[in-house]
Amino acid sequence: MIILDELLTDTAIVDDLAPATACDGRALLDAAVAQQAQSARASLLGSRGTRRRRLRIATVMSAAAAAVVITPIVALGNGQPSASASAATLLREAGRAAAAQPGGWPDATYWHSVSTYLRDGSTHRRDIWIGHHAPSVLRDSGYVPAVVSVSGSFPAGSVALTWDQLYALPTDPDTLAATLRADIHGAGSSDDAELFVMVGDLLRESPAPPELRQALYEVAAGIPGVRSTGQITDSQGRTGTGIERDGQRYIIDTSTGQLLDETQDGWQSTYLSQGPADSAPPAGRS
Amino acid sequence: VGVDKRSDAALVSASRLEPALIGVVYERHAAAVYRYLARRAPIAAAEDLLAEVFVAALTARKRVVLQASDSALPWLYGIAANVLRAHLRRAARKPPLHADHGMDWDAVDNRLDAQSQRCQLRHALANLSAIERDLLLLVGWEGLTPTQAADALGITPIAARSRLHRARTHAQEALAALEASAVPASIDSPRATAPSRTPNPEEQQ
Repeated sequence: MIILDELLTDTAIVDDLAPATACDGRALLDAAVAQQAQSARASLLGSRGTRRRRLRIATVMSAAAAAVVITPIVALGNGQPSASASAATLLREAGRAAAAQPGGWPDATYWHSVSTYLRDGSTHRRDIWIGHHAPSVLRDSGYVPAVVSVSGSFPAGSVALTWDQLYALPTDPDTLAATLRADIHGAGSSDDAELFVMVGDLLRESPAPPELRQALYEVAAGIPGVRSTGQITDSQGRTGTGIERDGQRYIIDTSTGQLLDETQDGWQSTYLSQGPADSAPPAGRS
Repeated sequence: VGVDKRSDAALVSASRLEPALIGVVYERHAAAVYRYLARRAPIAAAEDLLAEVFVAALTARKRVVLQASDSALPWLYGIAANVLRAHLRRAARKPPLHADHGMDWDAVDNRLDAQSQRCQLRHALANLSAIERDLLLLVGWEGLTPTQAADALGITPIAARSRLHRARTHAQEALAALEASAVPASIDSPRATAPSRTPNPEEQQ
């Protein structure tokens, strides 16, 4: 039997960094340190540094990735039993409330989300600015307050969507459910469990417009096994409706359609705010 | 030359005013960052990009504060991933739609001596999304904890947890399936499984 961990250990083996290469790298780094010290002095004398930085950001923006065409998959029918009646009713109520919110941000520069999460018994604050085209920036008191994240995309189950792909998702609930299900490819403990996860993914830190949010709640209302756990208070003391399936629980404010909190296997995240932003803190590298 | 005994967090913090201290971070972590690059790109590229990663860290150092006990490595791996991605994007002659620039598979194939290992690794990773694969390898190759890997990738710990679990399950299943099949199936580049809205025929099971 092939053991995954053994395979990873075996394939991780690489030759060590040669001392000469290490010295070359250090020399290049030292040169950059010296150059930076010089330009720091120069920027005290004028605003050249600022102008140069602006130019760099403009270059990054113009290097935006090409848009990707999304092919929606047509729904094949809707004969499945839905979530428990009360959960479905509450989810649809949340969907209507979400649709009534202002919004739709197809052209925003960043999506800024603020949350807290529990790690090693203490609560940490997480700010993320996900760039539409620019690199994303993460500030996390649990580890690194600012770092350019590798992925500026929006996860939905096993796939990662770009901002534009998110906006190209269908907002008809049946078509949306079929589109999302087509991307499951056997992930999760079951297709229904995975679809429930994907709904959370797309609500959590995402610029999904009001009509897509409503469709997502409608999709959740159609997932078998979803049930309501009644009124629950989240870690911030806000009261919402608990919606649960297979140990994954969302707390939703059904009067605004906002996802307040999420718990999974004892891990908890609480979502404080999300919205469009024109800029992000300097990411450190262009 | 005496060895600087300060923690990564203290060094990175002090480097705000004293940028040369990034050199100490380099001495401490260049070998690990090099291995990260060499596992995913040709040796020549790994050698070239090593300094680029630390120069990028030099620029980013002022906006980074590490927890006292934290290693700087997850942060450096996050930067290395960006540098590598940019390099592979530049190197791609014709960027394909849904290109996965996190990994140079030709280089990985060249690096692994045994054909069986190449085949097994490709099978194990073939049906994973880029995020799942990055998580699995940061844990399996670089030895990060799941939470550190989440930090390096900029996703929430809760999202990383379920994805990592899924990645392990899928990879192990793919290995079991490979073993069960008498004739090893030939697999095209896992790049074809980069996040895609349209179902990929190769992924159909």
